[in-house]
Amino acid sequence: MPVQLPVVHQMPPGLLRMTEARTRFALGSPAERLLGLAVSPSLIAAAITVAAVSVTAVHARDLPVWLVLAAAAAGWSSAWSP
Amino acid sequence: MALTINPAVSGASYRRWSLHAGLFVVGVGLGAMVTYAVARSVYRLLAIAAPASWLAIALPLIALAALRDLGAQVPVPYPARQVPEWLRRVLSPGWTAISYGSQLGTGFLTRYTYATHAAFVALLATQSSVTVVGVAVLAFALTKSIVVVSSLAGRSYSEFEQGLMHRHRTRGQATLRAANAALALASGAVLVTYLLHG
Repeated sequence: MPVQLPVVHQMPPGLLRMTEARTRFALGSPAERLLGLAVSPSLIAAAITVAAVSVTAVHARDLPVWLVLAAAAAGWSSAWSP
Repeated sequence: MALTINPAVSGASYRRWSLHAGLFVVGVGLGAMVTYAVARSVYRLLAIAAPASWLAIALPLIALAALRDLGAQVPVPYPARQVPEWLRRVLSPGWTAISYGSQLGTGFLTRYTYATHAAFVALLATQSSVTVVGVAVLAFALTKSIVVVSSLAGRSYSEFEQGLMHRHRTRGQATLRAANAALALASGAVLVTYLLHG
């Protein structure tokens, strides 16, 4: 599936108000990189796999547990949905 | 959402942005509850005949979504559109966060994301426990907001844009889709066991 990049140049001008030096986290800083990991597709996939294997081992037929796992996976995965 | 609920875009302070992120979580939760109400109503109607009748809707939904994640161009009941962009021009950032959150929270008003969403809705409809439904919806709302919380402004819009582009170049999308498909199918199997064998 081709990756679709967001067309950020088409942002409404009114929303492009910039606040210089507002952020406490410069891009590329350890904090930014750490938070960036939260939307890494490989990391999300690994977390889903580990959680699914764990649930299978311990709560294989417990539907509420699978429900919460599916909910969390659906939400987190959509963090990487361009 | 990273392009909307973001201090680099809205010009809001970090405190204000935290409020917007919180409102987004509330919106997602409300939207998910609307989906639950609709799906639960359908489930209860079908359950008059037999609870397992729900499988006639749930299994094809999960199967099609899983196939889509695996690369097949099969139809899924999600419209090919995103949240309406004009809303952020007419609403305040707070209302935009609630509005976008609730639309994304329903899941079926915007474009397809991953098969686990279909599994989430299919399993959620079978549950009547306030605790179980509450925990599941909260888990969905909080995790769906990670994209907002993890997106940082940068010191200028161009820096923010550069960072965002870098993230979208990250590899692993196929792996993520495969993991979602596998989890959705496993959840479907659990649903079959639950409805057929109690």
